[in-house]
Amino acid sequence: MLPITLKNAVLLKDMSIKAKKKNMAVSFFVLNIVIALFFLLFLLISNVSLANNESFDIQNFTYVFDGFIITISAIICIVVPLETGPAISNERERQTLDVLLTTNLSNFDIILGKYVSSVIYTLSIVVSILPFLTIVLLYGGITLLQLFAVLLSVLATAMYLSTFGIFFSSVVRKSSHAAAVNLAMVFIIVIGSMFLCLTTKLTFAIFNGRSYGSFTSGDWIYAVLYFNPATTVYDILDKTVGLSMGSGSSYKGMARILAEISDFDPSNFFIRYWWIVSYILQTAVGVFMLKNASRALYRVNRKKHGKKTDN
Amino acid sequence: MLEIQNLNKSFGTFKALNNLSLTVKDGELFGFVGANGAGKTTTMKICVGLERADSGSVIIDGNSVLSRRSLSVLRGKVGYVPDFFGVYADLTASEYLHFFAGTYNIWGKAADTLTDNLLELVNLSDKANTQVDSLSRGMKQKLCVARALVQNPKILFLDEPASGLDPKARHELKEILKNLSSMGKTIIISSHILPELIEMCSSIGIISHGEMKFNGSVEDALALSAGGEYIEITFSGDPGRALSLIRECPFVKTAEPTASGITLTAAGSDREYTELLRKLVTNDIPVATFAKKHENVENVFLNIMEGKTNVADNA
Repeated sequence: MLPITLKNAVLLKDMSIKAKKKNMAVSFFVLNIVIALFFLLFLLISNVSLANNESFDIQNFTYVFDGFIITISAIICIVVPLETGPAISNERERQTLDVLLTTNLSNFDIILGKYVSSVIYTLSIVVSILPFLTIVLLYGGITLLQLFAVLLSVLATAMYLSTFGIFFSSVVRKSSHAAAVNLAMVFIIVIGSMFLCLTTKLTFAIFNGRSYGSFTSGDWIYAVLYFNPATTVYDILDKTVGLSMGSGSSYKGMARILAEISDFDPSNFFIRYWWIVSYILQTAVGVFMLKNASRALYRVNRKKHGKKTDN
Repeated sequence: MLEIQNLNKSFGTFKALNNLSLTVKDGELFGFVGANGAGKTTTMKICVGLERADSGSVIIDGNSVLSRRSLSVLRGKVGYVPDFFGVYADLTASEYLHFFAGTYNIWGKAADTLTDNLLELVNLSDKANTQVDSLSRGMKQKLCVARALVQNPKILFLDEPASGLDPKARHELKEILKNLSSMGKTIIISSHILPELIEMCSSIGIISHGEMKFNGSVEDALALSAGGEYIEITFSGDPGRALSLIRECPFVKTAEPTASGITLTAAGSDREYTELLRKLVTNDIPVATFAKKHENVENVFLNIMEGKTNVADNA
């Protein structure tokens, strides 16, 4: 008996197809080899240091962990758009979408099946690296709770970015185009939002003849960073494991950064609990994207047929 | 079972359907004939809810396709095989059918039984564990028909299902469709290969430029070809004044010289044709052959599509 949540034919079909694909096994293998080598190298260096009676700082492990999580997040920012890009457009290219749309499945069922299948794929990547991360637990410096909190934030990032992927996959007809648009979108969300903050602040500073750091007009632009999952992961990572960067402020995460670059009060709920506000907003955006993907499914398909004259 | 009234659909300035009306009775095997671009696929897509009509009505089993609420009810009653395979190459035939069973909320043992039965129905039981990708075109098409039957629909729309199939696969498909028809399913099948439809359909509709030119029984359609009778005369030597002798006959409507002899259309009896032949022979015309022929079925339909044949009562 399947759980109700898994009783989505599209989800089961996609999982079955993905499980059969050789490139999935190969990519997992390569990823795990790279991570294994990374940790082996780190352990080797640590052991050599210990053998030479050099000091060994346990804190090094947390830095490695931080760097590792940031790297995995970056990988997810690339994998998710490539994975979700073809989700719907592939069905369209394969001409199976028409058939799907005549079944009992609602448009949202199709979208949800595709979305959950993409999230499970990303989840499987995260799960596959868990054994390596336990090395950090073994040497100490990070608790199990902290580890899971950080991993969940990575997964939440994947879930958020997947909604954009599914949306663009349903509005862009070609898989390759959809993947490219998705990558561009992720770039805009992660890097573009930071660039937008920087340029807006600079513009305000230039127009008011003041320097960037001292001028606080335009601080509202930082609100766009709530939609940037990198800031959310950073907030959680700094508040749980801790990052080496930053001053000796008593605040952590985005509150520490914003306290330095803006006039915001870091004790303000919206700043202090950045990750909570961020997740609420990102969830709302995600639901909005999925709903619109569902609407676009039928409309884009009809447009495609509308262009056909060989009827 | 299916009643289409004054259906209109335009794509930009192109009018795909123009006041199209059509009726298909319960249990009929209906052939939908028309050239490429005539509007067959558009009509079918509107019927299965993939396209929205600009105006008109489509009623299937008492439910309007154009109403959203009815459409969800109709999903379970209507099967659709598009003019392309629409298969997942990475799945086996059995997995493919299991997937579509799931789309109709049929799971577990019920899905297993259904899949086995459908594969048996389309003679693909031995291919259950074969990757869809490695099936032949004919087998893929049969699998698509099986897929369209997953929800046990009352009415089945098949868009050019025999297109690109070899004669053996066509024959097998035809047998499957006849079998389904005998099971009481209403089947609407489109094609531009007319003799194929004539053989298996009980009624046909001829569509041209989005307009219904004929809608009736195959017998009625074939009766139209009776009017397409002509006589072909060939000569072993110089036909001389044969043409003027032929044109003198009162029952001859037209007489035109051709590369091989003379072709004439006439409304005479067999006896009058015998008299004509005798007249030619007694006038020393070297007649080699004198044959009464029926216009080719394809030509009759072509004439109907082009409006050369009057079918006003049937349309």
